[in-house]
Order: sequence, then structure tokens, then C-alpha cells
Amino acid sequence: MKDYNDYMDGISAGHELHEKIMERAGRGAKPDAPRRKRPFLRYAGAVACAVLVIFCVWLFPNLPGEPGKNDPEACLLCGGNACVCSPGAPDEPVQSTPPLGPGENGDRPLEWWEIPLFLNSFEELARAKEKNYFETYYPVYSSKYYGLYLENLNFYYIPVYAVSHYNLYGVTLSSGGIASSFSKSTAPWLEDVPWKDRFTLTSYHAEPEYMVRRIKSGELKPWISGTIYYQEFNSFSGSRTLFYWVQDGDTFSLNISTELLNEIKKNDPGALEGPLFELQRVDLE
Amino acid sequence: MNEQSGRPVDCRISETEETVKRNENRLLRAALAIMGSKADAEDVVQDVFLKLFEKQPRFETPEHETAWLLTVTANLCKTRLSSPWRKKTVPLLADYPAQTGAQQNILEAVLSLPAKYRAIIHLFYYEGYSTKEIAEITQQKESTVRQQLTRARRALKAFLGEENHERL
Repeated sequence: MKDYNDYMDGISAGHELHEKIMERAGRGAKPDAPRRKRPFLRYAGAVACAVLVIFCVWLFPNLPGEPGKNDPEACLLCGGNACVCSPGAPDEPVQSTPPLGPGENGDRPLEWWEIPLFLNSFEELARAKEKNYFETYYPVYSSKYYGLYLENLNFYYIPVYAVSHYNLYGVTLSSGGIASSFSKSTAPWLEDVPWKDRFTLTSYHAEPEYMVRRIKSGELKPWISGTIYYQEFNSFSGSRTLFYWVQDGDTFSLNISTELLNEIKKNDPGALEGPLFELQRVDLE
Repeated sequence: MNEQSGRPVDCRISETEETVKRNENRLLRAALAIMGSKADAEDVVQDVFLKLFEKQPRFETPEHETAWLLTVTANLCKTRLSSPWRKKTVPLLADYPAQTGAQQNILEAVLSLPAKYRAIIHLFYYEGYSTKEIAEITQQKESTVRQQLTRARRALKAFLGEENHERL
């Protein structure tokens, strides 16, 4: 490598390079502006991608179609955010399986959790009522007990229109948008129901199988009784009008629509004072 | 008076100029060997001294100073070689023609090697560093340096042929 070393020995920086070095050292900065941009430009693509990703992450939950965010009838149970129990959620799968008759599943009466009833609209609910569906398919219930199953992805959504006897079973008895939407126009058959019976029971929120296990194990009582009082209640999701009753130390609540409450106050203002009525036990055995 | 590190700027510039004088030729040669072009090498050398002026590191010995400067040179060369902004320049031998045919041959052989091998060859044969010292300068494992040196020698041998290789 002697030739290589000889060649290298013949190379020197020269006065010009020396002056450039000292000039830059004296200024403490690089002389050519385009090069100064190099470190930024090298990472400019990565920075742009990161900004884009952050923007997309921010944008996605704010898209107009996001469930719950723009739902005017957001669920009362979860504070109005997206949830599977909200019938107003736009992504909710809709099943329109027609109700089965008693004979289609054998001779024995169906248990309440076996009833494959899927109602997708208040019109269907009204038609079911006209056909006396609930009275037919709830043999263990009082004949004045009206219920509705809606199946979501993982939950049964059961707003219950109670008349005089309440059979909670600890199951999901929920109100939400459906209960609030009951009105003369959507359910004209309700005209025959006394005003104080127009309650939607609001209680647990869980998968029915889980609740059935609790019922069968005795953890939850199969029926309740108690006294219902009227009370204005400010829930976490906003001002709600609720009725309460207590059973074995547990507080349950009934939800009533503002529309109905106003109707009650207008027609019979004294009706909300004192105990409204007693819940009657219904023995299933 | 603008001061940094407790010393006046003029004083620092004077010290830097001494360091530049001591090392500029050596760094230019190393950068030339790695970059293969005069313009790139000169840019690298300028950047090296600029970093020296900005960082003002404390050196225990002149050898320590030289090793630090060569390390920065190797790093800046590596960065510049991977940059798409690298200048398209005339070959090294056009700017610094070889004086003899033998020099021409060996330079062509060295410049035919990949840049990482050229750095090893230069530091080993011209600067006289051991593989351990080269490993520290290039921030690689010593075994890697030894392997690269072996491969570089093999490539030079293949390029120069058996007769010329005897002169390595």
C-alpha cells in the first residue's frame, strides 16, 4: 500500500479549504442554506405521515355516522353515548324474524327468555298488541303485562310496558328511546291503558343468559313487590323523570317520558303525590 | 463579548484554527478515501470542524483528538453517502491525479471498493490504526472490522491481480 500512502501524502487541504473551515467556524453556522434544510427534509415525510395518522385518529370518532354520537334517542342507561342497548344506534342489526306461535316450539309454554320475538318498530309493537301477542306469549305473567324483546348483538333489549303487575326477574328492563317514544301516534292502543300504568321499567342491563342464571340460582328473586313513588331525578345523563320503588333493599326505577308526565300533570296534578301504587307479586310456580 | 464555555470567542477560534491546521489534511484524506470525490470530502471536513467548534469537546491527548475527529468524519461520510442530496461530482482521480501508474492502479482498486471497505483500508494502511482502534472509530465490533478488512484485501487482490497484489 506504499503507492496508496504516497498518493494520499500528496493531498493537502489547501488554503481555500482552510479559509472555508475557519469562516464557518467563525460564524458558527453552515454556509449553504439548502443543506441546513437537509435534516428537516430527511424526516419531512415521516413527520407528514405522523400528522396524517394523528389527524385520522382524531377524525374517525368525529365522523357523522359514528354510533351514539348523533343519536337523538341515546340510551338512558349509558348516559346517551353509543351502546348496544340503544335502539337508535344506526349500526344496530335489525332482525325481522316473525314471532313464533306456541305450537312451533313444542307444546309446552315458552319461558320468557325463550320467546323469539323481534320487533323492529313501534308499529310492529302495536300490531303485536292488536294480536294479543303478549298476553298469549306471557302466560306466566299477568294478563296486563306487556313486554317487548329486541335483540341486539349481545343484549336483549326489553322495555316493558307494565300495567299493574311487574315481573322484573332482574332481567334487563330498560327504557331508552323506545319507551320515550311511545305516544298516541305510535301506539294508539295505549289509549286504553290508565295513565299511571304507563311505565317502562328500568333496571338491570345485562345479557339475559347471565340474568337467567342469577334467577335460577336464587341470587335474584323472580319477582318483586314494593311501593312506587314519584320523584324527579337528575341522572348522570341529564334530567330524567323517574319513579322509584324498593324491594329487599334494592332500588329500582321506572322511567316515564316527559310527554306522558306533562300529560299527567295537566290532567291530574294530584296524582303524583304520595304512594302511587303497590307492586303486586306474581308467583310463577 | 459573546462567551461560551467561559472562554472568549476569539480565543476559541484561535484554538480551533490550531486544531484545524493539525488535522485538516488527515481528515481530508480520510474523507476522500471514503467519499471518493473532492467536493464531498471538503464538505465533510468543513462539517467535522464545525461540529468540533460547536461541541468544544475536551481531549486528553492529541491522539484522542484525532480519533474523535476521524470518528466524526466517518459518521458524516456515512450519513452523506446515504443521503439523496449527495453531490454528483467528478471522480477523485480527476481532481487529484495519480503521479505514477502504480498509484493509479491502487487508487482505482481502492475506489472500486464499497465505501465501508475504503474507510477500513484507509484507517488501517494509511493511518496505521489497529483493528481494535478502527472498531472504536467506526463504532463497529472489532470482529466486523477484521472481516471487512479481509474482504477488502480479497477484493483488492481480485482487482489488482496476483502480481500487483504482492505490493500491498
